[in-house]
Amino acid sequence: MGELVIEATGLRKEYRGRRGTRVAVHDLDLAVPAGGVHGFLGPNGSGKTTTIRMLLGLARATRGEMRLFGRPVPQLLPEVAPRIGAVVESPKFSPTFTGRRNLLLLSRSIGAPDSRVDAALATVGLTGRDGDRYKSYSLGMKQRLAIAATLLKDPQLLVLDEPTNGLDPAGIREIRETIRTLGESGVTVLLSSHILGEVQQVCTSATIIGRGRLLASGPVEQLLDGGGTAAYAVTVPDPAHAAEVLATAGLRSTPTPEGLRVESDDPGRVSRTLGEAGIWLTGLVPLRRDLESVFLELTAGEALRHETGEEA
Amino acid sequence: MSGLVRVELTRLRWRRAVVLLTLLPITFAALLLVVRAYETRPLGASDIAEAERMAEEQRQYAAEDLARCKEQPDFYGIPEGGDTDALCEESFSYEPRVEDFLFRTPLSITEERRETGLAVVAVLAVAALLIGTTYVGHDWNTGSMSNQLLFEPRRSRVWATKAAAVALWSVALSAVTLLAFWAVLLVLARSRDIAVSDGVAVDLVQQGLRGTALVTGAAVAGYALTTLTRSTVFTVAALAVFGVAGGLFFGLLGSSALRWEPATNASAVVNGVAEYYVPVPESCFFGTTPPGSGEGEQCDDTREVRAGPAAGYLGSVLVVLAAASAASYRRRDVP
Repeated sequence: MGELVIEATGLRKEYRGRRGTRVAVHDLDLAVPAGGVHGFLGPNGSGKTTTIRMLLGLARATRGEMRLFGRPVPQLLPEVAPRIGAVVESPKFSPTFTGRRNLLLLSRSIGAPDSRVDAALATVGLTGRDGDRYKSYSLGMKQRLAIAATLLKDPQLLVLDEPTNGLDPAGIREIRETIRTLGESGVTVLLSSHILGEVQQVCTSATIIGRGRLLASGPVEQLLDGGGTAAYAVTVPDPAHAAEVLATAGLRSTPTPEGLRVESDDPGRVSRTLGEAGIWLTGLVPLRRDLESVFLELTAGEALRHETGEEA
Repeated sequence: MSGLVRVELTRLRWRRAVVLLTLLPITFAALLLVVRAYETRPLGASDIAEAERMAEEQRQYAAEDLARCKEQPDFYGIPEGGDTDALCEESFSYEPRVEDFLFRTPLSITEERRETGLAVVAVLAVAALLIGTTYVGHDWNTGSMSNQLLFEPRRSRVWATKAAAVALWSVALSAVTLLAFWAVLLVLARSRDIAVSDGVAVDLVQQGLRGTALVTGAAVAGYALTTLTRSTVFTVAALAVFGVAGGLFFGLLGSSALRWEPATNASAVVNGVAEYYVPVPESCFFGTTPPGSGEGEQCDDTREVRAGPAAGYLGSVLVVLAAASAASYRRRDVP
């Protein structure tokens, strides 16, 4: 792995309340290489936003070490902050100010010229509406404004927490293209999203967490290839009968419009089992796993471990 | 840091609530000027004519009363049997005069300094406190505080910058309002040929400086408290409760605790000295205490607080509050 832009080791966040201590992030290790788009995935409440907030100095880590651009944070966060643009959770601006005024205040706080506001507004397509009050914006426009705010710094690292929330399909595509372009131009993007298809389309690497714990991390290709059970699309004349035969042999299958989806690492065993039962295959095609299935397998496994009290 | 202060001043300027709260004491001071100018206006021909009419009216009432008294002396408490007419004339010997109805206190800068000057500073301080509160409360309520920290993560610097902006705004508001207020009153006094001694002018300047310090302190206190509580509503509610029940609270702590009541101390800071009242033994009300005795001193129900100790006390409270606020802002997670 090359130079790491984000690096966290043993990161832990505990919230102490009257009902005891709740651990939001469990000794998480995170490594995001420079360049490209890195997906940060996890179900609701898995600790994604808390992790991002700790990295950006908005929340204090209970334990662990964090580095951004090789500099320890939060100690040296002021040194690296000018290189980081971020949208954390929902966009947060002053509702009574116009979109332009909101950006102007942020821009001037870092000593950037006002012209950068115009450029950022143009990039996200808000030029005509920048004089309207923020509270009159649709959710999609608010998201665009938040992304425009991240561009004010001309960042080398973009941290985007659900950036396409509330956007219409065209808006999602635009933002996706913007993220992809930024990633290709050398900006490192940490993209936290629930829309796994979107992540798979734009991300070069990803980290999956569940209940505050690291479940998997690496290049997307590697995540898709490694781990879990392979599956095959099987085409047979009588799928129902074939499913019974496979079940008897201990192979799990689910019906599909074309036939069956059979989970197995051994395609020979599938064809042999069906052949011995007099069922002749007309098709046996390996199914490529998508990020969603990997995500669901990993997070379901983590949930099961949690329910049975087994520590990861 | 000056750049950040400029940004925060712009944020203040763009907040509608801040603008309205800024206009509040200015409007109050303007109205007070109009009222005081009217109430202390010199007597004119119409005033004299009105006084003559009222004096004549009173003379008629007195004559009617005298006539009724002579007819029914017992109704007026005159014992029968004596010279009731003479007693009635003695009872109604009052002769209403025109001068009695021409009384009007002329404009006195010394009196205005003590009373209306204090009122203007008090309204300025309340407005400044609310400006400090609403200004940072808005950042917390909208969540924009986290956005700001993504651009400037040095929290101590952000806290200090915002405090400085609130303080500067309050200094400007207080200075401009008080300067304009006293300038208008002095011009008014001059136009009415009322002499203003140099000593009074010095007192005005000193009161203006002390008042501005108090207003600035109130603004920073409002800001610090809301940064600590992270809620405008909580801060305003706490201040309202304190305003209503604060006197009772200090009273319950004992008569010596009344010395620590913030309003009394604020008044002392502005006017140089303030009096507060303490309970005295019941015997004082029945004249059983010989004057000049040791117990007589206990019968003095007024105590004084001077500006120096009052400023020290309020300043200490502000420093503790600001330190707690800054520490909390530095350490706690930002939503």
